[in-house]
Amino acid sequence: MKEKKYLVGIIAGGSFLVAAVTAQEQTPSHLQELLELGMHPGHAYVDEGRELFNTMKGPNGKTCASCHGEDGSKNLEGAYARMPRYYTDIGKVADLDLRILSCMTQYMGFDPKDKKFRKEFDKWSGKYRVPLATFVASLSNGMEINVQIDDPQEEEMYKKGEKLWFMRVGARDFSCGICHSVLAGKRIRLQGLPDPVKAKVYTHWPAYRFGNDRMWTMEDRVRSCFRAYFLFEKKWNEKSDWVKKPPPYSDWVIALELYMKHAANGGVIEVPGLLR
Amino acid sequence: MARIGRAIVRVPKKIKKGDVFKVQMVITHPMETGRRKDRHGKTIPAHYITKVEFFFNDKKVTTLHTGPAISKNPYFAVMMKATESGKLTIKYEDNKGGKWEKSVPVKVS
Repeated sequence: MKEKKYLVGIIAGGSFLVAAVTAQEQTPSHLQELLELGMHPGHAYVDEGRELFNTMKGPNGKTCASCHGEDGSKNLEGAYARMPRYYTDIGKVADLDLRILSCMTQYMGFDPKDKKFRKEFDKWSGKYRVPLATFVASLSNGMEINVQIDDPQEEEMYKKGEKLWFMRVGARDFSCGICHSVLAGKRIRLQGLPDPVKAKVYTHWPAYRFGNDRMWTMEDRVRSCFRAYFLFEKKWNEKSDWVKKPPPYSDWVIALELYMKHAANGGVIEVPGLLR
Repeated sequence: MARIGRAIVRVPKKIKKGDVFKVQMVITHPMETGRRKDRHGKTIPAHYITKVEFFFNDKKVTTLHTGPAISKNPYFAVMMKATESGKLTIKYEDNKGGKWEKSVPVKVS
């Protein structure tokens, strides 16, 4: 009898430990302090984006502000809350990064095939994408995420995203859902595993991450996941596909973004976020 | 990188005349110590902020002499007092010859 009692005690203790471990916040406490001070390294990117938005001139002589009004006051407030969505002028479902790229190539006159420009745009350390994306996203602070699926293209994309979320692919036979839906709430090393679908994690992206001291947009995040967990190719080819990111702004990435953001509907946007 | 040397400065919005208030700032800077090595074994050259100066209406408030022991993207806070509204200018430089300036308005009521 005594042994049984001990056993029960041990089991109960174990479950308590697990419970203590799983209750983890999104923003760690030492970063919460920085947030309360109002000092956030991500705001440097917002400032940079604002400067670019008002002053950067394309080959056509137009700036972002000549269409959208100074500081995006004309029609950009709340735009991020509705993204990704179908745009008739590009004929695609676009997220924030793709929308900025197509604005710059269609209306400001940058050449999309110019290698120098694309390098500057696609790279995280480049001049244009990350600061502009952070600034535009920060314009819809305090609003609720409101992604609607009315267009048939959006519906198709959403279904694709849902399928991708649970599809097991790549060298490790892994899917997003394994960590973020099945094991959600537990830990991987020291980090809590959030559930983007239930917990509305999308509200603080784009986020500044202390791990590598830079700003990440969701595009970067999803593409890095593809690379880190070998999710990219169905038929895995050791020579060509080993640890490779999908091309930027591809359907794979945008479909997943649409699925996650639709799940976060109703969450209040707080951009830029601050993560470990 | 164009991003080095960009700073954000926060000053409280409501300041009463003669009150002591806190000026906070973060400078985006790699702050290399000169002791780290890259993956090929070569040392990464030192690159850090050496001096931060605070001016209020062209009058010096303080000078901070900083060195390689300070973290990446450093955070500075200074307590100061103002009896009139004006412009707070912060000048900072690093050991590679970079010089920057940032100014913010201070409103005293």
